[in-house]
Amino acid sequence: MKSVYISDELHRQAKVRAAEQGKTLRDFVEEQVQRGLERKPTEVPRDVAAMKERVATYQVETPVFVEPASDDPLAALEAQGFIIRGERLRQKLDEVMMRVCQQLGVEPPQGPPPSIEEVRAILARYQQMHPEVPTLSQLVLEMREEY
Amino acid sequence: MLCFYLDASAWTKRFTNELGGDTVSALLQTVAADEMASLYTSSVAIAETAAAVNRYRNRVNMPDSEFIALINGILGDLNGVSRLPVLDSDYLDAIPLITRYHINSSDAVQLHGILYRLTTILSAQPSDIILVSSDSRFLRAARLTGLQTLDPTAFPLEAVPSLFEL
Repeated sequence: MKSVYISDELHRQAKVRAAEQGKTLRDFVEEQVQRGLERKPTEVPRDVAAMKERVATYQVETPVFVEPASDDPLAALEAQGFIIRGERLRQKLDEVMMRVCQQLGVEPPQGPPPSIEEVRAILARYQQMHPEVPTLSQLVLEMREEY
Repeated sequence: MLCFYLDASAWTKRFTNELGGDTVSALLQTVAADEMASLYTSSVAIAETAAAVNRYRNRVNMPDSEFIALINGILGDLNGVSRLPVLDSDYLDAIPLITRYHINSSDAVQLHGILYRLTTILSAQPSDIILVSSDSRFLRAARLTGLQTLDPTAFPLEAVPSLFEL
């Protein structure tokens, strides 16, 4: 008999599954390991593939931070999933806009985002109609006072 | 390497005709054309800006469709701006900045990000880092940590090129 250390979470899951099947933890684990060893290396069951996908997603969302020591630190940070830039940033912002639109029940915007001039025009129009309302910059300071 | 960090109070000036907006726009343009300079912001500043836009929309009763166009345009303005990563630990490391300089949590986490990430990851010297903000308390705290500061409302547009002279 030999001991193998596994994570607390894996231990918990194995214990639950063993109890579900009415087996002891030892028998269950032995059976699972045996089955895994007998499986052809190329054979990847669907549930394992799905698990791998979830792990990959988790790794992107909560990576272990390593200070990058490369010539391009931002690229290294991007590779580790700490920042998003370029096309991925645009995609992320599109996703955010999509969720905001869903909340409001309006159609998501089509085409490129309004230009800086168009943004200024919208704000200028409202500023003219509501001169008593603080500007965006003043609202930022107002919010900071409330924190 | 000159590093600028743009906070929400400065960035939002770019979208209106208020004092300082032209300076921020000129800064963005000049940095984009200068290989020896870079401009940063963070998700904290972006979220803060989105909150200000939402507050504005509520105050002026802006229709949803126009609000969507506005926020989409503002978020689309981020091209060419790098972002500092903000981690869970940054919020905890920022606590001493809160108690020392009496700033709020979002300012403190940004200040920590500027001081820590820009100096360690990008090897920038604090004297080469310029915080661009129109929040006097935030600017004061940054100055006390040794950073340079720029308040666009007090910095003339014509003087922007002088920032990039060796």
